[in-house]
Amino acid sequence: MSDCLIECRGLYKSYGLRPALRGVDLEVGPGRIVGLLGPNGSGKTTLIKLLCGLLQPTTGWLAVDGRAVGPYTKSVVSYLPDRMYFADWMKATDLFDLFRDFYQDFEYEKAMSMCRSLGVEPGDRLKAMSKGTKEKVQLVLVMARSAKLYLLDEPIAGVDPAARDFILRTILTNYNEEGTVLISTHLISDVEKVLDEAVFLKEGKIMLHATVDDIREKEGKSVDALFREIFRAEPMWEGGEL
Amino acid sequence: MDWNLDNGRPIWPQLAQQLARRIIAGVYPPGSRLPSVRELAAEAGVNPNTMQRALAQLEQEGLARADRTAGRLVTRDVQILDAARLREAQAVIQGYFEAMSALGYSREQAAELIKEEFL
Amino acid sequence: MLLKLLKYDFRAMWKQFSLIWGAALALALVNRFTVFRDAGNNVHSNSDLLLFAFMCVIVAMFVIAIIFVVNRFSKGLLGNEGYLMHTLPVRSWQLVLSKLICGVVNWVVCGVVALVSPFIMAPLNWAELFQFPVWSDILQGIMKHPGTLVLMAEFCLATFSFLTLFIASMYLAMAVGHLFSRHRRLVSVAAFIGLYILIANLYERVFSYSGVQSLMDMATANAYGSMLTASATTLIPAAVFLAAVCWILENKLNLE
Repeated sequence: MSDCLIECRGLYKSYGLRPALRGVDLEVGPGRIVGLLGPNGSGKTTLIKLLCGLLQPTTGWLAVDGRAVGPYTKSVVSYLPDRMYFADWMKATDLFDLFRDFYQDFEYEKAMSMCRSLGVEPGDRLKAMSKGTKEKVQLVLVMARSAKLYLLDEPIAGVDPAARDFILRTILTNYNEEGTVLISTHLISDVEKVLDEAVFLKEGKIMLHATVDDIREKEGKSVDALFREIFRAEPMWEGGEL
Repeated sequence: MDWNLDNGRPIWPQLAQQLARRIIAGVYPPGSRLPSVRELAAEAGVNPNTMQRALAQLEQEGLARADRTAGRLVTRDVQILDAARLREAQAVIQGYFEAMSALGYSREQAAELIKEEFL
Repeated sequence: MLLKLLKYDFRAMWKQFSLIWGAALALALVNRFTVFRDAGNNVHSNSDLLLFAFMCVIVAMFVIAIIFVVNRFSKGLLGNEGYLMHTLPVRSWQLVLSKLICGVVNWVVCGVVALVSPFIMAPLNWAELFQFPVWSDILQGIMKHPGTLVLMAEFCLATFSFLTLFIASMYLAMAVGHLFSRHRRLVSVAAFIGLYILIANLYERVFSYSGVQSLMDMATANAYGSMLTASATTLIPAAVFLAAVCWILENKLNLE
């Protein structure tokens, strides 16, 4: 078994004729917080869905914790999708029951205490909750697991800056430290401080994969500034070498 | 005390510097236990690995030392604390000279102005 | 894991159907007091409205049952809930099988409710019915012809097989619709009709071969054989359909 938690080789995925990922090679080790950064449509969600088994690659190969994606990898991956996924008639506690049944690493008590600190009443029906509260419930479900790999797809996209800090802090204080967190986002300045590594994704390819400190040291600027530079300069790069 | 992180530099040296200032200022008194990596990271809103690196830097400077039972303890060594205080003071003075030079004062003029402040 | 999935599927079913089943049976019971026999032994009701309400509930129950099976699959596995279900550490076939079992059971229970409720409201002499001689007669009859029990079991199997095939073709139609990026519902409906035509043609074609025909003649020589043959001939395409559904979910899933 390799010591890589995520390993992708020549990963290619197209929807019909439209390519979403065009040959991604990626290795991520354990115990890292990694930002998957790119503008909309750069393939962030596709990569995450491949890792959690919601999509199959067109060609190429990927492994999570040294295993092909399947029931085992799903049992060690905690995935926060970019949308609500639960039936309205349920209560938060129903979902906790479900997670406890299916995931051995789900900690019921932790979920309940997270609810208390986030101000969520777990006995309420999801139907009666506001969108923000539902998002919190989903975050609780994901972070109350001590998973090996957390895949968080745009966890801070739909909320105001104050809530962003709050969510990031929740993630930081609750993730399993031996585990790796992969956060996809286009709001880089908000997450930059919490990242170990940054992966820049552009038009389905990885442009850059480096530690945040390295980027700051070498470029003398923040990841956010570098990102803006790279993606604003897009027309100039066209046809040239990358 | 808030954490101020600027954009152009790596994060961990900034964290190390601000932790050092807290120790010098007595926010974490000599001999006391530093908060855990996780607590500090959450407080600053940064990655625990980054905070870890900053704390390792403090240990290297001798401002803190790892303790097997109590986590990390702030040093009681007055010499080390004084040296660190002096380093920070020199950095502040250096900053003063740089700011004054941007206003068109030479180092001597800047020093004169400081003296006049106390007359 | 399958048992855990079933637990949640049945819980969802109970949430939705406990009320409907209860209403159907309760209305049947209420009608019990309005329904009577006239001198010519014809059955009448004092309240046509109540009787009509009962009919409506029964019809609604079956409509909701069909919608239920469709929704549990399309929303539960191909809609937003799919994000949850497909990231659970289970195999696709377990997800499908759980929904299928739940769907078949749902329809069977609906059928039972529809069959039992007329008995509840019919003006029968219950006291007479519960008397021992009636039951001992039935028991003795069965003892004399134990084959009846086998036949009944085979009939149940044939019913299950047919329901399985029906639900499997609905699942496959929806899964095929899911392969398209647009007009998924329309494609699903078309696929369902297509599957129906396909099956009808397939049966016709296969059964026209003389070898198959003589085999069928042998198999259906008696009632026991016919029932089993019917079950087998419906279960085989059902299994193929379900395998196709699992394959699509495993390899071609694309939740929007």
